[in-house]
Amino acid sequence: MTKPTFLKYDVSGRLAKLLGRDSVSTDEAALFELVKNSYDADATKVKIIFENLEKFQKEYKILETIKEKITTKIRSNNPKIDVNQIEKIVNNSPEYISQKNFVNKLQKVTKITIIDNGQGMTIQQMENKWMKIGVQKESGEQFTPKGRRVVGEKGVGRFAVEKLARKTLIKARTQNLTYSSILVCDWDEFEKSGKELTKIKLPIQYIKKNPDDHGVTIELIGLREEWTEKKILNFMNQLSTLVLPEKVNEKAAFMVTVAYTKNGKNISKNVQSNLLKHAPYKFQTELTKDSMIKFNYLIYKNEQIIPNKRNKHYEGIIEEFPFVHFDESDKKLGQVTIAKCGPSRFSFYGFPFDPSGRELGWKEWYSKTKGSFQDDVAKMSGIKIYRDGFRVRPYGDAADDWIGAGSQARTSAGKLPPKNIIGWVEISRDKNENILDTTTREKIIENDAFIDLKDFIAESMRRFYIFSEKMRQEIVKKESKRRTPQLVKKLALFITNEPGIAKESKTKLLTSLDNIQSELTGETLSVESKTTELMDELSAYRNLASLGITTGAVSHEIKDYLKKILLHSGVIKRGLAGPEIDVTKLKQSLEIIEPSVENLTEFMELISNFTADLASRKKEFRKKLEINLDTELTAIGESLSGFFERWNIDFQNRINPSTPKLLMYKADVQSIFLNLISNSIKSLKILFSDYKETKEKGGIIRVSTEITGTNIVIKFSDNGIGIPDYDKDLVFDLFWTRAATHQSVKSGSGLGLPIIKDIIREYGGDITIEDSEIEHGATFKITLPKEKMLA
Amino acid sequence: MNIEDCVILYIEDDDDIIMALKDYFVPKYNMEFVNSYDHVKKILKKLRPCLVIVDDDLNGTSRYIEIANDIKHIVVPTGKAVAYIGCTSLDVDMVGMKNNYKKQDYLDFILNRGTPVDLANMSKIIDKIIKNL
Repeated sequence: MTKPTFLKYDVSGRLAKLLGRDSVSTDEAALFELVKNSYDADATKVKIIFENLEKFQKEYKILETIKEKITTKIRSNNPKIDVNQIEKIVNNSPEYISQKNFVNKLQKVTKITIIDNGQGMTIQQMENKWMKIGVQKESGEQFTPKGRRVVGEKGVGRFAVEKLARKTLIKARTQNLTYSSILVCDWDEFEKSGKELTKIKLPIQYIKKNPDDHGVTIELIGLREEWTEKKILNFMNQLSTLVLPEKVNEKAAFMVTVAYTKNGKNISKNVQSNLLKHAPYKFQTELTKDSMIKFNYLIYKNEQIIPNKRNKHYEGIIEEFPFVHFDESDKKLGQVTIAKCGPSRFSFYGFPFDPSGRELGWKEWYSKTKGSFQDDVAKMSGIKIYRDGFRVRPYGDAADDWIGAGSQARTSAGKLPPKNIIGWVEISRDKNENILDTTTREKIIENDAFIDLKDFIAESMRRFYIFSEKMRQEIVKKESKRRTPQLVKKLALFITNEPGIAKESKTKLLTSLDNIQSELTGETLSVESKTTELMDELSAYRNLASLGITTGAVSHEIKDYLKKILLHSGVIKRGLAGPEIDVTKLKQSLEIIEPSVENLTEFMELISNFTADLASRKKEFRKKLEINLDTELTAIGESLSGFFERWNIDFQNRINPSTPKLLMYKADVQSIFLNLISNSIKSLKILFSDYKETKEKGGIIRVSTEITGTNIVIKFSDNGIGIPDYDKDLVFDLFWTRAATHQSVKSGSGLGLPIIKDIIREYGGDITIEDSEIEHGATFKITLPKEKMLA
Repeated sequence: MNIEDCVILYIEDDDDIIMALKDYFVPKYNMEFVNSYDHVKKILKKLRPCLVIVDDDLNGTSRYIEIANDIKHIVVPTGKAVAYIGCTSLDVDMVGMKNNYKKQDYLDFILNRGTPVDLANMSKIIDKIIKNL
């Protein structure tokens, strides 16, 4: 046997499948590749036509029904029959075979046609480029004649057609030529065993054409997968984000039209989006060559989230600051540095909605659009990357929160999660040469340049939120005179919607609030006694609101307890009515019911004691009492022990035994503790839901006291999700709340911490936030002056 | 489809609740339970159910979108008829939630607070769905 002196690679016909079906992730991505080719050919219009789909889908469903019918019949005759046997019988059934053949025939004529008006392809281009795999662009070919940056660089995008259909027909029409070249490719040929890629001959034909006509038509015949209307619409939605809006980059603009049939009627739609003009928040930042970040413009529309009005439109360079790195914790700023990513531009469109889907006061804008606006925003949402005007996937796709906007929204009030943001960052190969593709073309290498690009976006958003908050506070200040009556309205709304307040009490409270509202909006409140009376009532509502907030914080668990009690009562009932009584089973059910009832009883005691204490606020009984903090806190801790146990929370009462009794209303003390505990429970629930391992480790809520020369200091700590530095000044603002995305944590009312602050200030004290005493989390420090608190 | 031919998968995170649901439903239906989303894909592959019931709250998180996608990727391609419904015990905006679920191709979104009425209603809906499969 002769020994060869060299070896060489050869290519099997199956390479087509490897570069097509096995490389391109989805059908939609495959079609994108073809649209990219049209873009590179300087097309201004692309039409995508889906044909013969309806009949195929209808008959395919009939085929499925036949299969199901036969399967059911076989099973009813022989319930123990093996699945493979069933399959065999079905496949040999004449009815099934006949329908299957019919369906196969229909599938062979399903078709997608892509027609563009680009440059077309000459025979030489077909031979040397389309037919040559992996051909590298020469330096002169990096830009199209119209100046577009070429986006299909690796020379394998054309195999996307293999993923989509069994047969491809390419009709190339070059300007000034009098004929079109038609290349036919049957992909099944490539899969036949033993065939080498280079040995497969593809027939080519020539037909006459008008010399002015130019472009490429690709017909994909015999589609491999089903294309429903839903899938087509989804594809269109994705297409609408593939290129930048025309106004952003004229060179990148080209119109894509999609046509298909629905119920026998022809439908034709242009791919476009009008969402951006409805965005209540807009801003654009630019990262310059010398690593400065400039805000080019910033817009608010009429916002009514909080009693303030924003209708501001700031243009020109409104702020400029140097690029910085974030440290690992993403909280503190690092050093000023040069951005390795190079210059870039970031556009941001924010759409605030609350978790239940309401518009948070932006109704006058959102209501101008038809259909489900929130869904449309969600479909296009995310922060995307455009290179030379073309989308780099998957950045900003539904599941790709590469900036971490979701976790920021969960941990800080007022920030928008990715599904409420449509944004994009623009880069180019020339100016951002350090940002490199991975070999699969589906991602960017996460090098220092890419991290700097992320930091640029994160810093832009952080600055935007700071700036918008500064604006908000200025407006709130100006409108403070009009604020109080509006707050009473909001309080009335809260009472109306709060399930924790009994119906009878609700009516009374709402009537009184009505009176307060008319008093406050009247000309004067001249009688001092009247003012005192109103203040008393407000205090009572404040305390009641605290009770509502606590009930809200644990309502999820209460419903779970009730569900268990109801379900296991049913188990016991059925067990007792049955022919034989299974004592073990009945005991198990009772063991589940018992702690649920105990926990509910303890919580109900807390509520009834609180209501009783509240009654002492009536004028004839109003009297401050000497309160032992330890006793109050222990009682509350016991009432909520079931909830703590369920969430693995260690409630630590570390009240210093030498703490003197404080002269306070009992309801006020309870309001403070209940609000802070509710706040901590929510914070821990969010932490546990985000990081499952933390639940096993457990949560801590700790209350301790210190006595200084002039003050009694109460420290209230937890190791929950914590409060970022930039939110610390905001959390005491009325109606400021963080977004809720967890089932067990409903969005807060934004009343808890402002109520505590008001109560404490009435006693001459103050509340501040400190770094947590425990790992992560937050510590609230309450300072009460001894001279006012001691009997 | 006949009831005995249909495997029903109920996804609920609380074992105590599963115990009671089993007692109610298993005598009538071929019903299996799974208590964590982590095991859903595996169970779908194994059982290929014809009806999947999804509790809206799985350890504090709503997973109905992921589960609908799992069903579409695992059960639907087998050609087997499958339906899925969502349920909750919480006071939620039922109309809004129903719409959200329907957008993900769920047939229905129902209330199950554990009351005999809710359970009977659930049974009725299950029977109707299986009959039409």
